[in-house]
Amino acid sequence: MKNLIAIALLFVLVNPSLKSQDYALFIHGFQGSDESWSGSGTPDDWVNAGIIDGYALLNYDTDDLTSAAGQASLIQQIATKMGQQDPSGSGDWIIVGHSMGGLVARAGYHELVNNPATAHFNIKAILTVGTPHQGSRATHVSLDSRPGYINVGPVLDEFSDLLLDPINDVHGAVALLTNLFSPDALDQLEDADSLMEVAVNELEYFENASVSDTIKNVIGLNGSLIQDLNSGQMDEPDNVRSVFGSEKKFIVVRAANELKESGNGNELSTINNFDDIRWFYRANANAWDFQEFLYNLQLKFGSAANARRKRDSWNRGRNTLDNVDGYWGEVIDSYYINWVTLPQYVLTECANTDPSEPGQLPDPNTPEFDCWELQYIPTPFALATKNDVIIGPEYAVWNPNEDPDILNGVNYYYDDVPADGGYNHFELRRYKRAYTLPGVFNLGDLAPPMNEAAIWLEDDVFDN
Amino acid sequence: MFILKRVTIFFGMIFSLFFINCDVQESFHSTEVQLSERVPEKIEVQKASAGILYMVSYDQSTATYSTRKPAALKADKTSDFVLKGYDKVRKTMTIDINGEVSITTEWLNGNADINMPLDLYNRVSDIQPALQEDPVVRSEMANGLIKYYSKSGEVKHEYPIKDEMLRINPEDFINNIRLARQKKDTDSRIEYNLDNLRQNGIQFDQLNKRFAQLFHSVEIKGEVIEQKQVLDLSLGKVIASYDMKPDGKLLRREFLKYNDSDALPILQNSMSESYGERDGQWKVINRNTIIRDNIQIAVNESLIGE
Repeated sequence: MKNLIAIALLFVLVNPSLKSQDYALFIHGFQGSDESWSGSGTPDDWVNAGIIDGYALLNYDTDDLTSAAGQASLIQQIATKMGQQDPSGSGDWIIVGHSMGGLVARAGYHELVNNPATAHFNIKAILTVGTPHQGSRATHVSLDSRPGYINVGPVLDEFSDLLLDPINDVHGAVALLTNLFSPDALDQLEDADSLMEVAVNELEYFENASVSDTIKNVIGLNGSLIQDLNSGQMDEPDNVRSVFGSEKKFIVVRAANELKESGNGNELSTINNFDDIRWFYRANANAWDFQEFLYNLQLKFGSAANARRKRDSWNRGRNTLDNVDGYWGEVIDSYYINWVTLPQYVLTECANTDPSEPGQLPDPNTPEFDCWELQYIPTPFALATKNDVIIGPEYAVWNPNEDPDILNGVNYYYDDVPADGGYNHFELRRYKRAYTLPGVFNLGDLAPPMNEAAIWLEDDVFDN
Repeated sequence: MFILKRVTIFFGMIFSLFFINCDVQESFHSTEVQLSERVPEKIEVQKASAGILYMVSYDQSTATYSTRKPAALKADKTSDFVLKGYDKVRKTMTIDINGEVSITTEWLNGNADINMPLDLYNRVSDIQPALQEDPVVRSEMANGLIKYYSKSGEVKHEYPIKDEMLRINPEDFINNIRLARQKKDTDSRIEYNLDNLRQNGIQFDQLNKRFAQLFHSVEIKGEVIEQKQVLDLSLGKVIASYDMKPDGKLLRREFLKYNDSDALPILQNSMSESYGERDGQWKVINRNTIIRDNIQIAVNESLIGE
């Protein structure tokens, strides 16, 4: 008899047809659609790799999250999708949510297990990817002046102005740097500005007065859903995992690449293009600096002054591109201030010290030029928090106050390394690499965040 | 004060002011305004090696500032400016005996991607995005090209540059230095420079013994901008410059400080400020500073002669 039981057990173990089916429900994030996950390739890749047997994709409107009726509808959609995939309810499930979708997954789980009509689904795990479990700071910013919001319009205006100012003198650049431009080079230069615009378009949704306050109230830093999830009163499955990433430099550029029309994930070409533009600005600044030297040598004072003006303009543009992460950090209110002591010019006590009212040409008799001196003074510098486009790591941890750098079995923080090891908010979703980074990884290689999650599913979650 | 007729000078006009050793101590009281009593520092000129006509090298920090404060600093009153970018490099410019110019730049604050002072970077590097493995650390401008080299020596970026930009007339350059050395006192230098202004038909306002104002107009982005420049006659260098819009608003101002030497003055520091609308007011919106240290100059004395 014992032998028969052993044989039966062995039969069960080696015959996959008797093993329960494993399914995943994929939930997109803010303003996304079911194509957000299908476009990443991960659902099909997981099926083809034998990690899951099937999947369902949720498609909902962000507005659904902002009302009780909408939330009820969301839960109903989740139950319907799961029922279509697993009519008998015999399968094992994982709910995978990207960004805000991770919050929907957690809230949805609680509702499903507490509703007799849906409690039969065997949801064994929740995987969140780039989810602001501690709330999204970006819900607190506005693109113009609004009470209760940080106005980031001036940040974007400055970024755009400084970037485009030297391009208005672009013929001067062509004159100095010859044979440089391809026919669409100007478009490429202006593209640097549009990359920020593409990302900002995501934030513009917050400007919709009908939803902005409720979005803030639901998933903002003190949002109702955030408070519920952190209350300790919500049911959770035994297996949970929060995957989040810290991006490489030029965060917003990489994100914009994913958001642009193609959405092909090949960020390398976009970054290379951005880098070319950045160095073009620097080369112009260098060239005008030297041109100024030559003009000075030849005592062409007017030309030298114009060369200095252009040099400064290209330098400001270059600094703006170099500091695009800092600008983006301000846009999503995820930055910190560091102070550094630098030599700065300070107006000193001097004859007729007030040289000019701002905006007025100073009195020609005023020796303003001799009334400034260098002093070492503390100067602030805004640095982007190591974020993944929309959330800083400390806001992506599953429970409040967890340290994102400490592996505790729940939080998996994929830090960046010099060889392009970071992951942007959208790239995190991919099971396979979307591009080749020469010498580091190839197109189609398994990407660690989702691959390690897949291994976790196989080893610890599903009864394989 | 000598006020001469003010006219617009021709853009780019070349005339031959020159500079000799400066030791002006007295200020000239032509008005109630007391003008500069500061004496430019003098840099010892070294001997250039064979084949080199002139060489200058210096450590240069370039910083860009903005008056727009992030939300977290709105209430802060300790600084008017926020740093937006920073580079510290060592530049070496060499003119060979044929007048061919080359410039090398080496980044002193790590590499070209750091964009902040090195001490700040060291403090925050673990919480900053990782840098490239093979970053740009050096650039060269020579033979019609600007090249940016990585740490491994690979050319990462390359741009063609107008040939004439990297070539000067060596005879003119030598003559400038010779002329500068012929005038041994401040008065004769100032007088020489005034003569040159007059002989070249450049009209100006003389503020006092040492300073003159030049005016001209230039079109910038479709607007006629009036530029006023203050010339230090003892150095033959513009030390202040103002751009004014047609509506009378100041668009830009800059101040430049030169060091003197026996081989032409060299810029030590400069500051420029741009004006624009901010918070509903016309005010300074950004500032650029250039600060140079460790300036070294070498000339080929056998070519200059005395």
